[in-house]
Amino acid sequence: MEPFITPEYYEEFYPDAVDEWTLSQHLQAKYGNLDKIENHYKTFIVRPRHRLRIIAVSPNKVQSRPRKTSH
Amino acid sequence: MIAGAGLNWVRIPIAFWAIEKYDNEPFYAKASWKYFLKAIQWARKYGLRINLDLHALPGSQNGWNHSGKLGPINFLSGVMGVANAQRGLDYIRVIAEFISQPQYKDVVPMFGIMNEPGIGGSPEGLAVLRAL
Repeated sequence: MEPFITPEYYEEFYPDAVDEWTLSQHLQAKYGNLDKIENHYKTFIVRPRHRLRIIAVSPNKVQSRPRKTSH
Repeated sequence: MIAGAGLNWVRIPIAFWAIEKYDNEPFYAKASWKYFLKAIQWARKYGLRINLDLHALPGSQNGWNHSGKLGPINFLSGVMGVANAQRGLDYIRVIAEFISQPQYKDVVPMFGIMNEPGIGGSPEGLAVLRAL
Protein backbone atom coordinates (compact mmCIF):
# COMPACT_ATOMS: atom_id res chain seq x y z
CA MET A 1 0.00 0.00 0.00
CA GLU A 2 1.64 3.13 -1.24
CA PRO A 3 0.97 6.36 0.71
CA PHE A 4 0.43 8.14 -2.59
CA ILE A 5 -2.34 5.76 -3.62
CA THR A 6 -4.01 5.12 -0.25
CA PRO A 7 -3.36 8.23 1.87
CA GLU A 8 -6.54 7.60 3.87
CA TYR A 9 -4.83 4.71 5.63
CA TYR A 10 -1.70 6.71 6.34
CA GLU A 11 -3.04 10.02 7.57
CA GLU A 12 -3.98 8.48 10.91
CA PHE A 13 -0.27 7.94 11.60
CA TYR A 14 1.16 10.94 9.84
CA PRO A 15 4.07 11.55 9.67
CA ASP A 16 5.34 8.33 11.25
CA ALA A 17 4.00 5.76 8.81
CA VAL A 18 5.87 6.13 5.54
CA ASP A 19 5.58 2.70 3.94
CA GLU A 20 3.63 -0.53 4.42
CA TRP A 21 6.24 -1.69 6.93
CA THR A 22 5.67 1.20 9.32
CA LEU A 23 1.95 1.38 8.55
CA SER A 24 1.60 -2.27 9.59
CA GLN A 25 3.57 -1.62 12.78
CA HIS A 26 1.36 1.32 13.72
CA LEU A 27 -1.88 -0.50 12.91
CA GLN A 28 -0.78 -3.52 14.93
CA ALA A 29 0.23 -1.35 17.89
CA LYS A 30 -3.00 0.64 17.91
CA TYR A 31 -5.59 -1.99 17.03
CA GLY A 32 -3.86 -5.29 17.74
CA ASN A 33 -4.64 -6.48 14.23
CA LEU A 34 -4.25 -5.59 10.56
CA ASP A 35 -7.94 -5.62 9.67
CA LYS A 36 -7.66 -2.28 7.94
CA ILE A 37 -5.32 -3.76 5.37
CA GLU A 38 -7.78 -6.56 4.76
CA ASN A 39 -10.41 -3.89 4.30
CA HIS A 40 -8.24 -2.19 1.72
CA TYR A 41 -7.90 -5.41 -0.25
CA LYS A 42 -11.62 -5.98 0.01
CA THR A 43 -12.67 -2.59 -1.25
CA PHE A 44 -9.94 -1.21 -3.50
CA ILE A 45 -11.16 -3.03 -6.57
CA VAL A 46 -14.64 -4.45 -6.75
CA ARG A 47 -16.66 -5.93 -9.53
CA PRO A 48 -19.36 -3.59 -10.78
CA ARG A 49 -22.81 -4.77 -9.74
CA HIS A 50 -24.40 -3.58 -12.93
CA ARG A 51 -22.31 -4.32 -15.90
CA LEU A 52 -21.75 -1.45 -18.27
CA ARG A 53 -25.15 0.13 -17.81
CA ILE A 54 -24.14 3.52 -19.10
CA ILE A 55 -22.32 2.16 -22.09
CA ALA A 56 -25.12 -0.26 -22.90
CA VAL A 57 -27.72 2.47 -23.27
CA SER A 58 -27.21 5.34 -25.63
CA PRO A 59 -26.01 8.67 -24.22
CA ASN A 60 -29.22 10.24 -25.48
CA LYS A 61 -31.21 8.01 -23.24
CA VAL A 62 -29.17 9.07 -20.28
CA GLN A 63 -29.83 12.68 -21.14
CA SER A 64 -33.50 12.18 -21.85
CA ARG A 65 -34.29 11.51 -18.22
CA PRO A 66 -36.66 14.25 -17.13
CA ARG A 67 -34.82 16.88 -15.15
CA LYS A 68 -36.19 17.87 -11.84
CA THR A 69 -36.82 21.54 -11.99
CA SER A 70 -37.93 22.00 -8.42
CA HIS A 71 -38.04 20.16 -5.16
CA MET B 1 -15.72 -1.16 -16.92
CA ILE B 2 -12.11 -1.80 -17.89
CA ALA B 3 -13.16 -4.17 -20.64
CA GLY B 4 -15.96 -1.80 -21.66
CA ALA B 5 -13.41 0.95 -22.17
CA GLY B 6 -11.64 -1.24 -24.70
CA LEU B 7 -8.68 -2.09 -22.49
CA ASN B 8 -7.47 -5.66 -22.47
CA TRP B 9 -4.62 -5.85 -19.97
CA VAL B 10 -4.31 -5.02 -16.30
CA ARG B 11 -1.06 -4.77 -14.37
CA ILE B 12 -1.47 -6.18 -10.89
CA PRO B 13 1.20 -5.45 -8.31
CA ILE B 14 1.85 -8.06 -5.66
CA ALA B 15 4.21 -8.14 -2.68
CA PHE B 16 6.35 -11.04 -1.51
CA TRP B 17 4.30 -11.24 1.69
CA ALA B 18 1.36 -12.41 -0.37
CA ILE B 19 3.23 -15.72 -0.07
CA GLU B 20 4.80 -15.52 3.39
CA LYS B 21 6.73 -13.29 5.74
CA TYR B 22 9.42 -13.78 8.34
CA ASP B 23 8.67 -13.27 12.01
CA ASN B 24 10.61 -10.01 12.19
CA GLU B 25 8.53 -8.47 9.41
CA PRO B 26 5.35 -6.59 10.36
CA PHE B 27 3.48 -7.22 7.11
CA TYR B 28 -0.02 -8.64 6.75
CA ALA B 29 1.03 -11.92 5.22
CA LYS B 30 -0.84 -14.30 2.92
CA ALA B 31 -3.88 -12.04 2.70
CA SER B 32 -3.57 -10.50 -0.73
CA TRP B 33 -3.15 -13.86 -2.46
CA LYS B 34 -6.85 -14.65 -2.33
CA TYR B 35 -7.64 -11.30 -3.95
CA PHE B 36 -5.15 -12.08 -6.66
CA LEU B 37 -7.04 -15.32 -7.28
CA LYS B 38 -10.24 -13.31 -7.43
CA ALA B 39 -8.63 -10.97 -9.95
CA ILE B 40 -7.76 -13.97 -12.10
CA GLN B 41 -11.40 -15.06 -12.05
CA TRP B 42 -12.61 -11.59 -13.00
CA ALA B 43 -9.99 -11.20 -15.70
CA ARG B 44 -11.04 -14.50 -17.20
CA LYS B 45 -14.69 -13.55 -17.06
CA TYR B 46 -14.22 -10.17 -18.71
CA GLY B 47 -11.58 -11.20 -21.22
CA LEU B 48 -8.68 -9.31 -19.65
CA ARG B 49 -5.11 -10.48 -19.33
CA ILE B 50 -2.90 -9.89 -16.34
CA ASN B 51 0.62 -8.56 -16.24
CA LEU B 52 1.59 -9.70 -12.78
CA ASP B 53 4.10 -7.38 -11.17
CA LEU B 54 6.21 -8.43 -8.19
CA HIS B 55 6.43 -4.98 -6.68
CA ALA B 56 8.07 -5.65 -3.32
CA LEU B 57 10.95 -8.06 -2.67
CA PRO B 58 12.63 -8.98 0.62
CA GLY B 59 14.96 -6.31 1.90
CA SER B 60 13.56 -3.77 -0.56
CA GLN B 61 14.88 -3.91 -4.09
CA ASN B 62 14.86 -0.13 -4.56
CA GLY B 63 14.50 1.57 -1.18
CA TRP B 64 11.29 3.31 -2.19
CA ASN B 65 8.13 3.25 -0.13
CA HIS B 66 6.27 1.11 -2.67
CA SER B 67 8.81 -1.69 -2.17
CA GLY B 68 7.28 -2.11 1.29
CA LYS B 69 10.16 -0.47 3.10
CA LEU B 70 11.56 2.99 2.63
CA GLY B 71 15.29 3.38 3.18
CA PRO B 72 18.36 1.43 2.21
CA ILE B 73 18.40 -1.24 -0.49
CA ASN B 74 19.00 -4.55 1.23
CA PHE B 75 18.60 -6.64 -1.88
CA LEU B 76 21.93 -7.69 -3.46
CA SER B 77 23.38 -5.08 -1.17
CA GLY B 78 24.26 -5.02 2.50
CA VAL B 79 24.77 -7.84 4.97
CA MET B 80 21.48 -9.55 4.10
CA GLY B 81 21.65 -8.67 0.42
CA VAL B 82 22.47 -12.11 -0.93
CA ALA B 83 20.12 -13.87 1.49
CA ASN B 84 17.30 -11.56 0.50
CA ALA B 85 18.03 -12.07 -3.19
CA GLN B 86 17.92 -15.85 -2.69
CA ARG B 87 14.64 -15.47 -0.88
CA GLY B 88 13.38 -13.25 -3.67
CA LEU B 89 14.30 -15.88 -6.25
CA ASP B 90 12.34 -18.45 -4.27
CA TYR B 91 9.25 -16.24 -4.37
CA ILE B 92 9.72 -15.56 -8.07
CA ARG B 93 9.83 -19.31 -8.59
CA VAL B 94 6.68 -19.88 -6.52
CA ILE B 95 4.76 -17.29 -8.52
CA ALA B 96 6.15 -18.38 -11.89
CA GLU B 97 5.21 -21.98 -11.23
CA PHE B 98 1.76 -20.99 -10.07
CA ILE B 99 0.89 -18.86 -13.09
CA SER B 100 2.38 -21.42 -15.48
CA GLN B 101 -0.30 -23.95 -14.61
CA PRO B 102 -2.63 -24.74 -17.50
CA GLN B 103 -5.66 -23.13 -15.83
CA TYR B 104 -3.85 -19.82 -15.30
CA LYS B 105 -1.26 -19.40 -18.01
CA ASP B 106 -3.64 -17.90 -20.56
CA VAL B 107 -4.94 -15.33 -18.09
CA VAL B 108 -1.54 -14.40 -16.64
CA PRO B 109 0.79 -14.56 -19.64
CA MET B 110 3.17 -11.89 -18.32
CA PHE B 111 5.19 -11.69 -15.10
CA GLY B 112 7.34 -8.71 -14.17
CA ILE B 113 9.69 -10.41 -11.74
CA MET B 114 11.01 -7.29 -10.04
CA ASN B 115 9.67 -3.76 -10.08
CA GLU B 116 12.25 -1.04 -10.55
CA PRO B 117 15.27 -2.64 -8.91
CA GLY B 118 17.87 -0.16 -7.74
CA ILE B 119 21.60 -0.59 -8.18
CA GLY B 120 22.88 2.33 -6.16
CA GLY B 121 24.17 3.94 -9.34
CA SER B 122 27.14 1.63 -9.72
CA PRO B 123 28.15 -0.42 -12.79
CA GLU B 124 29.03 -3.28 -10.45
CA GLY B 125 25.50 -3.21 -9.08
CA LEU B 126 24.09 -3.44 -12.59
CA ALA B 127 26.34 -6.40 -13.39
CA VAL B 128 25.25 -8.18 -10.22
CA LEU B 129 21.59 -7.49 -10.96
CA ARG B 130 21.94 -8.76 -14.52
CA ALA B 131 23.67 -11.87 -13.26
CA LEU B 132 20.79 -12.52 -10.90
